[in-house]
Formats: sequence, C-alpha cells, structure tokens
Amino acid sequence: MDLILIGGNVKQRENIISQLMSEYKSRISHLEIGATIRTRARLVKTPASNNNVRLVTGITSDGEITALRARGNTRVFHIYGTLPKMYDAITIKRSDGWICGGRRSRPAHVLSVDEAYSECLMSCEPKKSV
Amino acid sequence: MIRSHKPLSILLEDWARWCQGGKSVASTASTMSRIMAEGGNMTFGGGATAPVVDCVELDIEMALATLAKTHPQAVDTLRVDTAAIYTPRLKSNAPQIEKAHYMGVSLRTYQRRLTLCRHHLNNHRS
Repeated sequence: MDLILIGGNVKQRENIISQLMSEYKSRISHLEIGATIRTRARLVKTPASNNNVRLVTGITSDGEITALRARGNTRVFHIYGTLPKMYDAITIKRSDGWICGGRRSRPAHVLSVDEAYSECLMSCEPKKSV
Repeated sequence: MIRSHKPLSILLEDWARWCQGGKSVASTASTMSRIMAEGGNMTFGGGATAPVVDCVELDIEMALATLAKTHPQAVDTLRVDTAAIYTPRLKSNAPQIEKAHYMGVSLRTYQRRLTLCRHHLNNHRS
C-alpha cells in the first residue's frame, strides 16, 4: 500500500519522512521518485507490497498521481499549510487526507503522522473486527 | 452516578482491575477493609461473602452499560484500551496504534471512541 505525500516545503516534508521512518522503520519503506522522466515512469509503475506501507514522495504532476491512484491500495496525503505552485496542476480529491508533522496544534481535519500511517494501513487492508 | 473525586484515569484503572478480578476487595483483605467495602455491614461465619454492590467500579460499569446501548463499539474500545478484557495476541501495554489495528480501526477512530467514553463518564460524575 502506498502513502503518497505531496506538497509542503522541504523542511516539512523531511520532518514527516523522518518521523515515519523512525517510528515504523521495519514496516515502512521510502520511495523518492527520481529526477529523470525514465526513472519516474519506472518507479511509478513498481507495485507496492501488500504487507508494508510504501511512502512515496517527489510527485509533482497530476498524471503520476492518477497513475498511482488507478493502481489502488493508495492513500494520498497533502501536507497542511500554504499550497505551493505545483497545486495549479494537481487535483485534490475528497478522499485525500491532510497531514501535519511536529507537535504544533492543528485543525481537527488534519492528521498527525501516526494517524495518517494508521489511516493508510486500515483503508488499504480488508476489514476485520475483534 | 459515579461518586468519586478521583481523576477519571485512576478510576478507569481501578475499574479495569475490578473487571479482571471480578471484585474490588480481595478475599484476603483485612476485616476493616471488608467492612468499609460493604458499607458497614459485616457477616461473620461460614458461607461465601456477598458481592460488593456499592462501589465506584460498578457505577462505571452501569454508566458504560447505558452507553453500550447506542455505542457498543466505543465501550469495547475502552475495555481494550484499559485492558479490562483479555485480548489474545495483544499486550496490555501495547501502544494505542497497535490496539487500534487489533480492533480493525484507525488510530483516529480509536481515539474518537475513547473520547466519547470519557465524555460520557464525566457526564455521569456527581
């Protein structure tokens, strides 16, 4: 399952990535989409594992997000704050979530790093009960 | 009505222990503690001791029973969180995120259900 992280500035993004990687290091892998078009196309097509969460960063175009969404098992999270210019070309869907790193107070609809990880895991897993 | 001035977290800990043990006073408790627990009544002699029916833990249980009519999953969540019920494959001191996934819900939903229970219990305090 993929947790796609979009938006924010470099500091915010790195903060969230480091929190996720330190907290769930054995259960999460990080995939930074490369710089060249060829690498990007290959990595976007790489299927995610069913057991582990794959954190995907570096996406800048709507086409790449659409390709990842179409594959399923994907949850898109936008970093809460001022939206950068890239959002002119990116569609925010109703099912997408908002994420905020750090411990500062946040609005009710914005998830913490732990909550986002949990949401991703639960929304991609088949439902079960106690 | 929950009649105690202790913080809710401590009351819930006592309640969880009560749920696991089935009684608030151990059978090996002193005579004085048994008199206090049974509200001044003390029966000497043979036979099993009567269950304690006037305790804060029972008040919590009754308050949760009313909540369970409308939000049974919230009450189950509180029981799992406080380790008031036995949960196989889950340690009682596991982090909340693990407990949430054990119950098949996200951390957010888990915390929302806990908040609902705490809010309900606080409303039932005198």
